[in-house]
Amino acid sequence: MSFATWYYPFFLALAATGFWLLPVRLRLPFVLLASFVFYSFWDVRFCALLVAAGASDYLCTLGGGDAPPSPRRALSIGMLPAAWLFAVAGFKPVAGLHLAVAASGCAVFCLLYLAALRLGPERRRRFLLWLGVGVSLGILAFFKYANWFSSGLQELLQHFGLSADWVLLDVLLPLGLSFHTFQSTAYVLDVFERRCDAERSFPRVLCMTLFFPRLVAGPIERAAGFLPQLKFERRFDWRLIAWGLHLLLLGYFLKSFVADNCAVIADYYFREVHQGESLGMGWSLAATAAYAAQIYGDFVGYSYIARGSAMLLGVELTRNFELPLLSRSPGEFWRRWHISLSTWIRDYVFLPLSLWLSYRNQPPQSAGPVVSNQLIVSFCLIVTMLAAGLWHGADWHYVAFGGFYGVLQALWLVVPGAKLLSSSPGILPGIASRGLTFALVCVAWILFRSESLTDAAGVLAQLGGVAGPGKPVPAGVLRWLALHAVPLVLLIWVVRKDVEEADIALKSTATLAISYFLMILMVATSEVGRAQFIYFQF
Amino acid sequence: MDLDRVVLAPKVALAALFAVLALAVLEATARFGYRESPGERNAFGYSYDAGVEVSQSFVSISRAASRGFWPQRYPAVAPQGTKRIVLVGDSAARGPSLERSVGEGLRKCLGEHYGIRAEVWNLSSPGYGSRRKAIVVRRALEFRPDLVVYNAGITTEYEDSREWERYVEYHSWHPRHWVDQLPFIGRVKLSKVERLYWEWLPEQVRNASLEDPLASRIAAIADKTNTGFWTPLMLSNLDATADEVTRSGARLVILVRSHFDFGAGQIGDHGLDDIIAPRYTSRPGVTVASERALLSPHLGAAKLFSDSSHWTDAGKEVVACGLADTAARLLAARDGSPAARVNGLAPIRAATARPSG
Repeated sequence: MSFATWYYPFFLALAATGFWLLPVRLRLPFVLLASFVFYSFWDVRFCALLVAAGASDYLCTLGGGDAPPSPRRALSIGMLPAAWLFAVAGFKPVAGLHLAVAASGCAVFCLLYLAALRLGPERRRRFLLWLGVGVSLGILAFFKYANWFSSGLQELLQHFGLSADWVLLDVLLPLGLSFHTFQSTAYVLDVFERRCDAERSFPRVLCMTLFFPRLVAGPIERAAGFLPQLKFERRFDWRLIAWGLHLLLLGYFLKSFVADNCAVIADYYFREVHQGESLGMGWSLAATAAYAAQIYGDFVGYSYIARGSAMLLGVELTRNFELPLLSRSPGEFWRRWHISLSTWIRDYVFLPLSLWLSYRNQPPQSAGPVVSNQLIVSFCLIVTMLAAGLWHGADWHYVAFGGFYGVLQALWLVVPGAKLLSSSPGILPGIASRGLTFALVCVAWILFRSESLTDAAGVLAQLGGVAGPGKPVPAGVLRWLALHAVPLVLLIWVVRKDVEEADIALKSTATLAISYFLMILMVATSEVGRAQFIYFQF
Repeated sequence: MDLDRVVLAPKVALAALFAVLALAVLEATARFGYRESPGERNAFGYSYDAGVEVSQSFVSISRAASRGFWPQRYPAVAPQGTKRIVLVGDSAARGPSLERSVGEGLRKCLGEHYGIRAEVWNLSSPGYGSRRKAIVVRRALEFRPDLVVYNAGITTEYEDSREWERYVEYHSWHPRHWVDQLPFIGRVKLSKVERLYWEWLPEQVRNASLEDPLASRIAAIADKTNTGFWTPLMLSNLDATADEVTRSGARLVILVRSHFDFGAGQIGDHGLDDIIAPRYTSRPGVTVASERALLSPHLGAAKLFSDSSHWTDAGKEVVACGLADTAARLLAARDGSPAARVNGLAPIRAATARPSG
């Protein structure tokens, strides 16, 4: 189910009402049920993957501790994903091969787990860490990258004159897979690193993966802050509901009014480019601005809706954006954009990698690894951002998107002028650094939005005015863009000294009332559900 | 974080209350302030009554509820000696103004060349196809016209079908349309679609992100220029309309629409002449007139068209006077009197049927 459908508000209202009316002990099963229903609107069969992730997280974290689940319990939980698929096969078509793969995969996992129970505590802990991370990343690798690798392999084989149709796979990417994989991996790693305790309740671990407000596009939550909330012990407080509705309104304003309406222009332009048309500099500027507004409204809007939905159930999700368009450097942008992903990558990729490299290169007499070498940091930044790019999708333009940010951040680290510009006080350096950062972010978004590197090069050539004369942009198109982007700019302007758009609540009651009035009007007069959320595809 | 901000909830609630109250006031004002009901407004031209109002023995025709009629006023019963003609069509028949419309040209021509005093009700509206024209004709028949001139084409059938789907959707129970049915917000939303989305954005831009299931569904049915698909639909509606008109005792002139291909310098009609003329020739009380036949003999046909499907003033005059010739014959036949003076204007290809009764 998408947040952008007409029925989601009804589903949410029903879920929230049921949640608060139920006694505390029944809330967890109720939320689990609601989450299964939510995900099943897309495809009930793929719930098996979520169950698999939850089962693997549960067994691998608890199994590494002092009181691992008994073999019998481990078997009953480990085989759950296959059982789910077999049950679903009663009313949804499931291929026999898929059933066999699911059953044997679960069986192998259970056997490995049972084998681990025979190991000593430390070896068992380490083994289950690799098993847990391996299951999560294995699922991600297969579903997300198998098509990419198989088509690449096919091209390679064809290059040598070999017929290779058999290598082609047609794997459907399950909704929200990248998000819950990262969350699962973080949980297993956090338990291993003793940053949090292993959860003893399987439904709660399952709920951590399945919790519907954050299921399909994050935020990627950390277990230490998230798991305790899943006891759902909070008492009803109308203020939670009021704040949740405040976040929901902001989210729908950004999604339905800003993003979906700006998408009309961006979609047209990028489709034309993909078909080989050159519309010229004017169109590329307008479309880039439109896409900037679209992706911002779409993802920030999604996050507000997720947070608002969770707040209606008394759960606080991570703040994922902090006015990133006001950033003064690419590094700062990533600290304020998709924060749950950037901190994940920082904690689980960048820091381990840079510490490891620093440790290898430290002078023998130093006390410990210190990440001070700019070359190492720059290298790690590029590698980390390449990984972030690849996380978005299995395509070269995503790799280029990540690599571009990596290079930019490295440049800001080593070029003194860039660093100075970003940190200088005053209005002019502020405007210049923000303008420069925004322009670079837009270039990155072109790489992100284009369907291939060739398309991206075409857009950049048009933007630079080297693609020849194009077509004039109709005044109506510019008016449409202004109508839907200017309210976003105004909102950011109003809260520019605060942390995020939701802080408009800190302004006067009159300002807030006028904002609500306009936002309700703008949302209500926009087509709901015109376009899917961009980040649902990841 | 959010839980820190929860203390702002009272302020948030108060502001929301003000905003909702303001919207409620606007909704109430719209509910009682607008003359047309939101139901009519959202009838997308399928309302029976919209745009035609009877008061104190006069009929007022106005622009309302997706009906782009020119404002007009006539006595409910035609004065003695005045023929009542109703012109039903789309933007071409509607004209850039009432004075410069083909209906007004017809009235003048009838008066000047045939000595027939007539009132010509222009009940044409942009984008109207056979389905909506049928409703307009049915409403007009209540006022007992002597003659109905029906401008028949297929280029508006696509739009007609789209609006019909909208109408059906709007009047369904579906919660998706609850907002649309609000008197104020629904009106603002519709205005945004009609005046901003449709007018500001070129068609190819709109189509690129067409996720609207309704529009996609219509687009999937057939392209708007797919004559093979739209012609049978138009004919079936026209059949029903012709039956209604003849049953009422009025005469019907089917004026077959034409278009001009500026590239080829030719007038075309999507083959409608050849389909419509034989189909209706034998029907009592029905006459078929062809715009193409009226306009083609004139040299420099390009000067008769302002764009591919609309006439210039010169084009309108040719069509109006050609129509007047047919109308004069029909009205005379209906009255049982000899045909009025024929002034030798362009001969029209009119398959005049035997008058009934």
